[in-house]
Amino acid sequence: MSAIEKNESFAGRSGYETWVFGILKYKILDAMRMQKRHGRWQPLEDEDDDDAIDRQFQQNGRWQESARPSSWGEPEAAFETEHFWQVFDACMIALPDNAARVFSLRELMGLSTDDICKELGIKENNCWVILHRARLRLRACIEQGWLKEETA
Amino acid sequence: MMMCKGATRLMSLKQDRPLTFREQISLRLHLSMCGACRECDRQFTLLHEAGEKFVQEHDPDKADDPQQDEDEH
Repeated sequence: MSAIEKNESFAGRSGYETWVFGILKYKILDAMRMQKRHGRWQPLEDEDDDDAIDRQFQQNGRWQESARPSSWGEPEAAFETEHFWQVFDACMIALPDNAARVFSLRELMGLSTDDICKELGIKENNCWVILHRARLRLRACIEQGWLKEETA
Repeated sequence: MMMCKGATRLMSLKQDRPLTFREQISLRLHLSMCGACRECDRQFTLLHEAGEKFVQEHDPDKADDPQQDEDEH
């Protein structure tokens, strides 16, 4: 297990959570490499082929009335709300697997898309398409789950 | 003329690499006319900041140097 192999380098680190987090990054990369090796990786070159995204836009490329983004208020205020993070978690779980993985590597673990693509052996454009979709899904999900409840 | 859907592509891209001059201009032009997209742009930035906050608190490789990611671009 990579968790045990990494144990030695853990000595003196700041905490159990940090240690687990470091392992998680390798786990996610491993899972994706494995998927790719077995040919289950679906390249996503086509921007226009995602129902969940299409539902947010009209045919002419403008926002659907029901999906128009509204203000989330000040970021600092949002980050201090426990409820925001609960909704954020729930929305991450609702993402398709590969979208959640690439988004986690990029935004939660701070890897560059260049690094992610080198690690996974996919085209950088592919990463950008996946991230674009992940962000659109997340924003719609968070807005529904968080904002609408806050103002209710 | 770029529509909202195309504008969100650039807003997302902006979080991952610097936009080219041409991309910046067309995004700015669209945002100047579209309130919904300005909110979306703020939301993508907020998602990015939420991630950064999370990284700084948890990631052993980045915890000592939160600027590292910026320097790579």
